[in-house]
Amino acid sequence: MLTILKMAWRNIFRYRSRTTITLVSIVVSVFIAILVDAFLMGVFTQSEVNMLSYECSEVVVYADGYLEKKELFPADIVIESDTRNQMESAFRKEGIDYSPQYRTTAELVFYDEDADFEGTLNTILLGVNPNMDSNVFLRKEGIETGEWLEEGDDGIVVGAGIAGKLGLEVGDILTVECKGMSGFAQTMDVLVKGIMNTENTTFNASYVLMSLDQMDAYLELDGAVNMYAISDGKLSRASDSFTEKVRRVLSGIDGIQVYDFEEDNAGYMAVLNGDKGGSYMVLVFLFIIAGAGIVNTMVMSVLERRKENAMLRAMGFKARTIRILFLAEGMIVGVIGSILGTLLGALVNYPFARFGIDLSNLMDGVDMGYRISFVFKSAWSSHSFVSIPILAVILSTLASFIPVSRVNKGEIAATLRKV
Amino acid sequence: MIKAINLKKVYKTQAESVTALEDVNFTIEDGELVALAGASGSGKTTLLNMIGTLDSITDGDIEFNGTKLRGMTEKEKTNFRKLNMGFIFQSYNLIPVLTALENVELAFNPLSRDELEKTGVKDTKAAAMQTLKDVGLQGFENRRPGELSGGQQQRVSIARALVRKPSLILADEPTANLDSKNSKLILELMKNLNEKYGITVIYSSHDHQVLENVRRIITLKDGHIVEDRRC
Repeated sequence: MLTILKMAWRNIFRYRSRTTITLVSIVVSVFIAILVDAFLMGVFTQSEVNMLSYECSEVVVYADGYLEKKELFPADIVIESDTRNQMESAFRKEGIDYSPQYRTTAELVFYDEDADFEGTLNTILLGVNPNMDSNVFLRKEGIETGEWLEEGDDGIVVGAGIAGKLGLEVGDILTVECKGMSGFAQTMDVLVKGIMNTENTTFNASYVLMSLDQMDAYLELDGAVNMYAISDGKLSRASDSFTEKVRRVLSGIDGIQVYDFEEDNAGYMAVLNGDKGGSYMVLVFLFIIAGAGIVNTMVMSVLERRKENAMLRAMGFKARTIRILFLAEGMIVGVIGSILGTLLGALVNYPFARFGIDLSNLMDGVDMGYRISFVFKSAWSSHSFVSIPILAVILSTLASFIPVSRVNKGEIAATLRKV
Repeated sequence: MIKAINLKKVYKTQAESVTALEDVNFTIEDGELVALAGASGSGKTTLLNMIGTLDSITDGDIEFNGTKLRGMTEKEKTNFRKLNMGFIFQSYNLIPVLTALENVELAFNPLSRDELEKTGVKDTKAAAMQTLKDVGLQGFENRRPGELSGGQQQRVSIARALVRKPSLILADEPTANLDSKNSKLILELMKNLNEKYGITVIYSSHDHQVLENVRRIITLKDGHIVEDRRC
């Protein structure tokens, strides 16, 4: 077997230009695959962390029927105060971090002679408990100017995107128009206490936060909220066991439902999976191109070495051994190409993963669905550094199967005669 | 002993059938040095290939030490060639990426551990070196085929055919690509090896130099044996 591998190794260098072309196609495919995977993983990971840090929690509790109408911001599907008391008692008993919220839509009206913007802006108005919000989210840490909310305070904090659009500054008075729980229209003149500039640009562009007790007073919530955000403190999707724990803890309470991140964000997950599928199809296409290159190289090798193979068969080499010789050649090219492609991919990806790329100019006002930060960082995925090269080696070996199957066809004499 | 019995070979193409050999009968004893002679297209290479199981038999049979070659499976043929035969071809067919020594040693590669033991060879590299020395290529062991002359390459292919000490060597036009000086050297070498090891050697050739260096000539014409004489 050692001799066969030695022959395979030397045969690779026998057709230098052809091997180089195949090698380059594998290197480029692996390099692009690693880079694309690192960027995709970066987008998905950063987006998810940003969602969990500022928008949606690892586990959420809604009143029955809220999730189905979530996008319509139903004002009247709420968790009443009695139920809240039961829930919070259960959470405290089990040491589970939570934060009650009331979410609705609001129209901001602002006029300033110096500002570019004049008119109204649709936003999401979120009532939060200023003391409990940090149990689940990083919103407070996102305050760039001004200060965070306080209970009983008549102010709001707005995202930097909104502030930028409206020309808002801390200390300005803003008119907020929304509907109360029973459907009445409410108009509030509120003080801008703080401006949040978080890692989540979508959040910055669309969220206005108000103290929950003030919102209760303005919108006559009567102690109700429409969601509880719950966290296990990890800023990643909750484990099944944690979700089950929350379900178990709340199992005796009627009128509420517990959902995990995927269930709560089914639309986002569908887009994410669709994008993942599309992106991986591109990678598959790349590998098919590289595979076609290998097939072509091996077909040429098999055809050019028909006489040599016939001689080996005449000497008593088994057909299987000759096939192994060619497969080894495909595999060696695959291994070399994969190693080089991986090294190149790692080298190019390193600055993107370590320092990131400043997309603030590109991202300003752009909503691409994903919650990418201004400084985007690709992922440093050891998983892709292993799986992509292995996949490339397997594919390059498999690609060799097609031409190799022709190696031992026909009578030896006929092969010797034809060449 | 090789015995051809009513041997027939027909090549079929889509358009026609061509009878390359018909009614061929002969017996070659162990240790003989025989040439299959005849003009181009007479069937000598076809006959050589059939003896070497490189080509199938249409009708009749060949017996090699009592073993019938017709009807063997590919696996059986491979095994049979490995244990009994060595081949020398007109165009040498050496592996260009291997050195002369590695090309010769390659002949041991298909053998299993037991089969190798039966050849009596313990050190395949040493055996390959010795065989290269026997064919006069001492000092050329590490050269690749591209760095050797035609005569030297043919001597490497002889060493490769010989190193397993087969009972039969089949040589198809071994001097066709060589000048007369190299041809003479090769033929004398083959004759000496035949005498030294008692290996049966069958040439297919119309080169008069070959015919002068054998002890028996079987002449073919249009697929039939027209003469079988001892020299």
